[in-house]
Amino acid sequence: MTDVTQILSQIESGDPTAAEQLLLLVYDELRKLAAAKLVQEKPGQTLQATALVHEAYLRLVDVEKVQHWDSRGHFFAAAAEAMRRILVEQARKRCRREDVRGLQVSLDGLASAASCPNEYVLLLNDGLEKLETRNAEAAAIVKLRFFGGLTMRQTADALRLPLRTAERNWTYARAWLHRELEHFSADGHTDDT
Amino acid sequence: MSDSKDQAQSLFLNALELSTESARAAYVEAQCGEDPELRKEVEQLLDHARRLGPFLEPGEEEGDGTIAHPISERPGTVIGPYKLLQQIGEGGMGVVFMAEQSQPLRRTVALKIIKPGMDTRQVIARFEAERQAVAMMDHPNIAKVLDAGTTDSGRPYFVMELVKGVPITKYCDEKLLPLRARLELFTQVCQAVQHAHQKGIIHRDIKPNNVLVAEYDNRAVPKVIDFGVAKATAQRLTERTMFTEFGQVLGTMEYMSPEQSKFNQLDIDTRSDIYSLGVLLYELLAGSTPFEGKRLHAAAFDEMLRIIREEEPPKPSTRLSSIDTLPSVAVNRHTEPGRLSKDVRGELDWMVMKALEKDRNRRYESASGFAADIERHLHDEPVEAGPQAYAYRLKKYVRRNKVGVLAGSAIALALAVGLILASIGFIQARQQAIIARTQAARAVQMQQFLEEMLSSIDPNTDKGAAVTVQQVLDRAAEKVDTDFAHQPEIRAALHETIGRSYFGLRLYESSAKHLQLAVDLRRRYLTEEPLELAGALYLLADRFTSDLSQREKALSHCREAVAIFAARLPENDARLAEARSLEAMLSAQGATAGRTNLDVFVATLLPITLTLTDDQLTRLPANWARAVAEAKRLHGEGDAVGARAALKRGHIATIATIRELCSTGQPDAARQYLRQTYTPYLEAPFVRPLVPLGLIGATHAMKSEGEDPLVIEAVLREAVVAGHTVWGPEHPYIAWALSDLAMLLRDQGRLDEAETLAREALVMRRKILGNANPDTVESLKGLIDVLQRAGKSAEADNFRREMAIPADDALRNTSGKQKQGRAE
Repeated sequence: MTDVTQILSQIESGDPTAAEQLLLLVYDELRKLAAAKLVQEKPGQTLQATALVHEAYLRLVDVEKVQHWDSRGHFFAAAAEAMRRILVEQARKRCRREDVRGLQVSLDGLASAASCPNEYVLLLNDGLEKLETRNAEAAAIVKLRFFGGLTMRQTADALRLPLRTAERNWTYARAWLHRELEHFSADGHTDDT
Repeated sequence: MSDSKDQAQSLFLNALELSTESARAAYVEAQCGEDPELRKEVEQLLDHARRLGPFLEPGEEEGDGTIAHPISERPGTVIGPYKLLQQIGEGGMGVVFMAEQSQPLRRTVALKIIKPGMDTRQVIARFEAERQAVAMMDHPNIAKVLDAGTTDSGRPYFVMELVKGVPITKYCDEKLLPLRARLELFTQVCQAVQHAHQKGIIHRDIKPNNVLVAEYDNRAVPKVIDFGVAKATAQRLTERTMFTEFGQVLGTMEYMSPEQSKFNQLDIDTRSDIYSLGVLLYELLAGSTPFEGKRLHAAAFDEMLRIIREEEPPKPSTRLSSIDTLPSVAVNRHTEPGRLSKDVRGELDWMVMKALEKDRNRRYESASGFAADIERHLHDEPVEAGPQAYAYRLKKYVRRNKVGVLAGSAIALALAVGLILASIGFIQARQQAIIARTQAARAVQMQQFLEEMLSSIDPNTDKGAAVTVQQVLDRAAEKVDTDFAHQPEIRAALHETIGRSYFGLRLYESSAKHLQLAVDLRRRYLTEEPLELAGALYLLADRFTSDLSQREKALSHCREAVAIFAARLPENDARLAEARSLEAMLSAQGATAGRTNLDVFVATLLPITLTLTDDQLTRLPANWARAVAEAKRLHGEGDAVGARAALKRGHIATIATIRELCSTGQPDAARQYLRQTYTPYLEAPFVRPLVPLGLIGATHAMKSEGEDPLVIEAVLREAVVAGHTVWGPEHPYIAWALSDLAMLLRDQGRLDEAETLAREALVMRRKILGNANPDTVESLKGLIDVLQRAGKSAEADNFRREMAIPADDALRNTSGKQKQGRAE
C-alpha cells in the first residue's frame, strides 16, 4: 500500500530507479487482479482493462497522500503500459497470430479495451508499435486513453500537454490506426512480418 | 520522411477543422498540390476520420464537443413542433436556441440541445421522473420548463419559457447597481429557489448564467432558468468511475458545493443550492467567485475538487482588498473602493461565509432563511450570521492544514498534528507540574506560537503562493529561538517536533540539527528531566542510523540514552528495550571496527538475552540455557565483560553441537536444534529483528574462522526462516541471507540450488531496493557468475546486457519488448 505511494514521491523527487520499480509493482498488482478476474469470467471474455487499472490504483496508492496529478500521471502511465502488456500477453496465449491473419475485422468492435476481443488487441498493439515509431506522443495518448481508461483531460495532464494538443494528437492517432487496421483486415496480411 | 509525416498530420488536423467537405478539399488541394504522396496521406486520413465512429473511444465521451462531434442542429432545423430560429447561448452542457413553437399554440420559446456525451435515454428518463414536480412550479422568478424530448440526431433537448434577460452579475454591473439594489435582487432569487425547494426540486446548478434578469415595465425581474434540467443532465460521479467523469461538471465548478464535488453525491439536498446562492452573492458583492475560475480550471480535476471540498475561501471583503481591479469593481457598484470594502466587511461577510460553510449543517437552513437575514441587514436589524468563534476557527486551521494547502503534502498533516500533539502533551505534562500557574501561561504561549505558524501558511496571507512544508518548518525554526529565548522547555519541545517533521521530509541534516539543539537545550537547562533528555538522545541516534558515517556519534548518543533509561526505568520498559535494540543494531553495523565478528555477534545477542524470562530459559537447549543464565547473573552483578564471555562460551558450545549434527549427516536435526535456541528470542518485543540479523552476523564470524560450510548453511537457512517470521516474505536482510547462501552453495559446486537462491535474492532486491542499489547489482553479478559456471552463458550474457542499461533509462525502455521477461 505505502510502497507505491512512496515510489511516487521518489519519482517526484527525481529518483531515477523509482519509475522502474513502479512499473514492476503495478504490473504485479494488475496481473494478480487480472488473474483473479479471469477465474470468474467465462472463457472468451476479456478483461475490464479500465476497471482493473483503477482498482489497482485504489489498492496501491494511498489516495490521501498522493494529491498531485503529477504523481497520478506517473501511475497511470505505468498502469496503462502494464495493462497493455497484460492484454497482449493474454491475447497471445489465447489466439495464434495465424488466427488473426485474414480476419475480417469490424472496427466498431474496437470501441474500448473493455470489450476488445483478443485478436483485436494483437492487431491494435501491432498498429500502436508502428505508430510509436512515427509519433510517440500520439501513441502514448492512445495507451493512456485506451489501455488506461483516462479521460482526455487526464491524459493531457498526465503527459503535461495542453488539452488541445492532446485532442489533436488523439484525433490523428485514431484516424491513423483506423487506416492501419482496416488496411490489415482488407488485405488479410500485415506488411511487416 | 518524418517531416512529411508531421506535415501530413498538421494538414490533416487543420483540414478537419474546416466545416465543409468542399472547404477541406480546397485546403488539401492548395497545400499539397505539388506532392502527390502527401496529398494521398492527408486524404486517406481524412477519409478514415469520417468513418471513425466509436473507434477506440473508451466508453462515453466527455461531452466537450470534440472535433469529431459538433452539434449539427442549425437555425431552420425543425425539432418536433419547434423550429429553431437563432442561437442565443452556448454553455458547457448545451447550445440554446430561440425557437418557434407551432403546436398547440404559437409562441417563442428557448430550446436547449444537450451536447454529446450523455446518454439520451437516461437524461430523458430522469427528466420524466421530475416532470410533474417541475410542472407544479409556478413562481414569477422561475422560468418554466415546458417540454423535453430527443432530436433526430439522438440528443436530448429541453424547451423552456424564453427569458430575454442577461446573467444577473452582468446586469448588475451594466446598470452599476449599488449593493442595496443587488441585495434586493438577490433576495428575490432566494425566494424563487425557496419556492422550488418547497415543491421538492433542487436546482443543483445555480450560477449567473442560470439566473437571468429581464426588465418588465422598467422593473428588474430575476428569473431562475433550468430548474429540473440540471438534475436530468447532471450525472452522479458514482455512476461511472470517478476517472471517466469530467466534462459535465467543468462548466460550473465555481458554484459547486463541497458535497457535490464528492464522488458519492447521493445525498445532495437543498443546502447545496444554498451554497451556490452563497457563491452568487459573493460574486455580486466582490466581483469574483470565492475560488477564482482561473485557478480552478488551471488545477487538475481532482485538485479542483479538493479545493472546493477543503479550502476556506477568503471573505468577500478580504478578496476586495486584495484585487487589482477594486476600482472598477467599486465603480460597477456605484461607490468608492474604500467605501465598498467597508460596507461589505462585517455582516455581509458573515452571511456569505455562512452560506459557504463546508459543513452544510452550518449553512442557512433554507433559502428563505438566507433571504430573511439579508433583509434584516437591509433594515439594520441584527443578523443571524455572526463572526466565527475563536475555537471554531482554530479547528478550521487544523482542518485546512490537514490536507492540501501546504502544496498538497501529507507531511503537512504530520506537522500540524505533530505541533498540536506537542502542545497538548506539553499542556498535559504541565498540569502535573508543581508550579502550575507559570507553566499554564507557557502552554498558552506555545499554543499562540503554533497558531501563528499555522496561520502563516494561510494561502490568503501568502497571496496564494504555494507554501511548502519545508518553508513553514524553516520559518518556525527561525522563530523558535527568538520567540522563546528564555523558555528552554518550550524551545526544546519545539525543536524536537521540528526535527521529527524534517525527518518526515527526508531532510536528514536539518532533522539532526534540530534534534541536536533539543538535546543541547535539555542538557544545559533541563537537567531535572533526564528521561526527556534520554528520549531526545534516542531520537537523535535513531535519525543517524541511515548515515553510517555518523555511526559512532549515534552509538554514543544511544548508549547515553540506554544508561539514563536503565537507571530509571524497569527492565521491561518499552523505551529501554527500544534503545537497547537500537544500540545493538548500531553495534552490529560496526562489525569491522576492531573486534572479532563473534564478539560483535555476542554483543548483539546480549541485550536480548537479558530480556529472556525463566520460563523461556527452560525451553532452550541445556548448554545454551546454562550460558544464558550465567550471562544474566554476571550482567546483574555489573560484570558486562563476564556476561559476554559466558555467552561466547555458550555460543561456541552451540556451534559445536550443530557441527556434530551436520558432520554426522543430520543437517535437519542441526537446524532443529538451532531453532530451539532462538525461538524464545523471537518472543521478546522490539528486539526480534536482532535474531535473524544475529544469525547472519554469526555466519560471518564462522566464515572468517573457517567453519564447515554445512554448518554455515544450516545457520543461514535458519536466518531466512527467522527473517520470514520477523519481517514477512521480503526484507533486505532476508535477501542478504539468501544471497550469502547462494554464494556459499556456489562455492560448494551446488550450482542448481545456488541459481534458484540467487534468483530469489535478485528478485527480492530489485523489488524492494530497486535496480540501481549496490546490493541488487551485487546480486545480479552473483547470478551471472552462477549461470556462467553452470554453462548457461547465453542467459548470463542477457543479464550482462541488462547491467549495461543505465537505470535512468528505465521508464523509456519499458515500452519496448526487451524487458518483458523482467517483469515476471
